[in-house]
Amino acid sequence: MNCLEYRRQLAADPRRETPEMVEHRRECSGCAAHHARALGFELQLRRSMLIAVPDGLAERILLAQATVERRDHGSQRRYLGWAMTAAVLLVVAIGVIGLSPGAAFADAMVNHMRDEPESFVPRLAMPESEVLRRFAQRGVKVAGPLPPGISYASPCPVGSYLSVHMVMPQDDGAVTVIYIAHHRENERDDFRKADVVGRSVPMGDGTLVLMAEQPTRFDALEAAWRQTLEGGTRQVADTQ
Amino acid sequence: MSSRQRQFDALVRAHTADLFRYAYWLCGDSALAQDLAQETFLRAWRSLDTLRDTNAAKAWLITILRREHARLYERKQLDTTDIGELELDDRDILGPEQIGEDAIVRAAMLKLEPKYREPLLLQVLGGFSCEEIATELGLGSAAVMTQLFRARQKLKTLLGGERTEANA
Repeated sequence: MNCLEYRRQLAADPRRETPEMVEHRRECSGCAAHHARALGFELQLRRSMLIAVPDGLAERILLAQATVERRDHGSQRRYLGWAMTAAVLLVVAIGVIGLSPGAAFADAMVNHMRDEPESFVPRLAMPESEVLRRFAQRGVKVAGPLPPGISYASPCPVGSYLSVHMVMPQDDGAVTVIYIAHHRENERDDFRKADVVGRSVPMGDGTLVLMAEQPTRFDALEAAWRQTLEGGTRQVADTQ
Repeated sequence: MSSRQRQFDALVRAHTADLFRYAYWLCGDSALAQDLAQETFLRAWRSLDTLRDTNAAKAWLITILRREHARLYERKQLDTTDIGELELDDRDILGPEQIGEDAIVRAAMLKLEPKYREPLLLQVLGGFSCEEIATELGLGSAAVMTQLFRARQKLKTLLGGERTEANA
């Protein structure tokens, strides 16, 4: 090992020396002095990074967690009665009309949306390049321009599906758009879960899901996303 | 108290300081760093059952924190903080000269590009090896070593300038 090699390796990780580095340092007074200076710099660097932690931060975090936990348990108790009633109705519904395979898919979408409330925080539209990067991360090739006004985009796992989870603020409220990559639902479906209205549409190589309080913008957004994902070559009726 | 809750308490008490500092050096804002640390732990609570190895807890938390920071960064461009607002951990035992030196180093740290600052944080604050940093950042070990080498070089260059200005 020569001096240049020793110093390069030392600068990458001054606290860890290989046996070869130790051997070189013992034989080279210049590098021994360099080693001492490097350790001095590391000490100063570490001391500078150790900024003061605000008093009571750990306690505030534990309080926040306990509050969230209590709220969730409270909600669970409140909805227990409703859940039992719903379960009974569900059993009846299964008996009468059979369980729609789309129901589980819609449930997964709604649950995921509710599990990510930060997606609704008002913010400016994201740069198109950032949204396209999320699609690329999911291996989805986009055929046309993106619809404007996407304020949130995150590559989220939704159950066993891989998705790009987006939010598009509209005049009458935000519309959550989830594109499930590489999974086409068998058919188009309009659904309602409590106060959420939704639509899932096989599109491109996957399935586009729209969710909002009101479905007023669904047709326009579906058309815009079809242009984006399929290049506008297919008609809505194709999937119906 | 359930064993899950006890595990979470221990996790918070053991790692809050590290996470806050790591978050601070990522975003350069003390209030935001506190929010990031809190959100990281709340997410950790929800998926605590996936933590199998306590030795991996710190790396696991830092992974969650980095993801949170990335999400936050997508939402808004962060302002940098005034370095003079920071308080030292051990102000009482340091002399004015050391306090001044630390302030200069901190200012230089915040000027480092994130691609150099982040591996340096993982190494100096987190105590991670080059291989562990490479895994965390999704890079090769050689690339991490190069970034760490350049980070220190750039920091020393910046410090040369800062000290000259401070002494002028």
